[in-house]
Amino acid sequence: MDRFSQLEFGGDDTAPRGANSRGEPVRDAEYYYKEATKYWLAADFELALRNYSRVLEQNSTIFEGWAGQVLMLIELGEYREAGVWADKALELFPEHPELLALKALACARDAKMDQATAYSDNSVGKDNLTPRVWLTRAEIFLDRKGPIAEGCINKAVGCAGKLGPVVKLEAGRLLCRKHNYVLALQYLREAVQGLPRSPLAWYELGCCQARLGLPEAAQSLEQCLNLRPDWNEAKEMLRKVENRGFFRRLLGK
Amino acid sequence: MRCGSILPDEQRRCGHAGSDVIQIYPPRMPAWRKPFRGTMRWLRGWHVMPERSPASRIRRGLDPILSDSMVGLVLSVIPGLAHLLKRRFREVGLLVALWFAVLCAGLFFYGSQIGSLLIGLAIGIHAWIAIQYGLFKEIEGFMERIGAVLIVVVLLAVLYWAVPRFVPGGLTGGHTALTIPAMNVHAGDYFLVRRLGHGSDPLPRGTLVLTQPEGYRNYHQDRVLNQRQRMIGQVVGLPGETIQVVDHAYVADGQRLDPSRFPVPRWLQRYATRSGIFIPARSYFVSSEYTVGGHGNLGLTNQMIGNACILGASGIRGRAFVHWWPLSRRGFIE
Repeated sequence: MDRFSQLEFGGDDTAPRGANSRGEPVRDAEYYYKEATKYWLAADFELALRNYSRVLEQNSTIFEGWAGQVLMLIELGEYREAGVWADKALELFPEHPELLALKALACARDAKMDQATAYSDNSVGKDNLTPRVWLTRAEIFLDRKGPIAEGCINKAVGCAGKLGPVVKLEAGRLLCRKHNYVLALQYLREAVQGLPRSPLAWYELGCCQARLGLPEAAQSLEQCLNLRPDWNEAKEMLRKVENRGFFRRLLGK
Repeated sequence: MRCGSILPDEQRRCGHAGSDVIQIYPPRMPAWRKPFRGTMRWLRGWHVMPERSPASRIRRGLDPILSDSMVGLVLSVIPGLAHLLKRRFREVGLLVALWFAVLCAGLFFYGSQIGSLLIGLAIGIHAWIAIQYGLFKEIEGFMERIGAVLIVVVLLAVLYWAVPRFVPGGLTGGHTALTIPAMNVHAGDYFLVRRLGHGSDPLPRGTLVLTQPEGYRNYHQDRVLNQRQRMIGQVVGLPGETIQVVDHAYVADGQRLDPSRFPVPRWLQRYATRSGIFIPARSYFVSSEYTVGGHGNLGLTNQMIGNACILGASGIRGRAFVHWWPLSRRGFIE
């Protein structure tokens, strides 16, 4: 199964493969993978993790399931567990660059930069590099070596292919996290064009616009809430954006 | 969501790849750890804390020690357990059987030299089983191997010494230097002793008890009292009585005790008491054989004899209940 091959990039709401008109769709690994990706792009990382587990329950040899689990653990802030699980996945897929990159990412987010750099160095030395490898490298170097990091992001976008919108979303999130809002805005705008039904993309765009003091922030967040009405963080952000005074907008807070 | 689970219990299954069972549900962080980890991360981010915490450094240092062979060594406290857990029991099955047989024989003959020899042999077999698990694969140098063997043997010897004292309710034992014809007890016999708890029943006259000499061993050491540790003695005087030795026999409160049941040890026959020795409350006069050292003909005083023979509850370690060795006299003490 190609990664993200089942992703809903457009507004295509076709029924999953194997679904019949009367009953439930066939709940196979592909179905759960699609569900997991959907929840990930809706920023419901807990449900996404659960669905990635179900993917592996169906077929434990699917690499995307393992990588997805590790990524979701990172998104949930469970960096140590992510490291443990990346090790476990590496037993099945030894020296896989994406897993090494995810381990590096877990270390970097856990403020263990030496280990993160070591894992990232290891991952870029492999063949068949994925965008994740470059994105992780960018995250590690962004604080210290800005130009290298930007080069890494460009490489990630360059090798993304069909995954371009997702990689741009990730790049935008990364740049937002590192307070490079101007560059992030560019990527996030491109991301929402590719992923118009992703609440996460709209939320990140809204947050980025809010930090830059742009009036479109409220619009983006409303769009996000249209797609996922129960998202409290987005509601809170929208409330903040709407109640922002002159000085806050001036200071970008 | 509980820690360690992604799906509810009834949905929890493991994926299969080939014949190996693969755990597919990642572990989860308990909620209470979140703030601690967050703080540590923040400190690491500000370079206040090193990236590798001191705990992980210690763990790294311990890793080589806590290797598989060391864990095997620890598990081998029960011979063959480590092998059993690793499904390698067949390698040591015969040795375990031999160890068991030798240990049983050693316990049967315990108290004699043969018994000690057999138990020593059992310790040796036990050590060999433990070492064979994997320690010799990791330690290659001859001297290191000898050192490892010695350490294991010493640790096991300590273990064998401690187990009967702590596990089955304080079982211990001791030899006696007394000869008591009426009880068919001879000097050198070995008795099994059960320790006395606090608030035990008062000991009747004639009870064989294991005495603890530490309390008085150094008292007037030049005169009296050089006793082997862990000696079985006989309770002769009860609390509140006055004991005297007259004509090679004990006299308790004016009543002469039968010398065949309550024999006077040789050292007391030689230094017979001139007047009675009063036994205070919660103490006993315990008759036992001592080696008297010191200054030739200088006589012993009642006080010295009292210090040696009058024991409080703390001085009595336990009560003999089985006449264990020699085999011909083995049996419970009535």
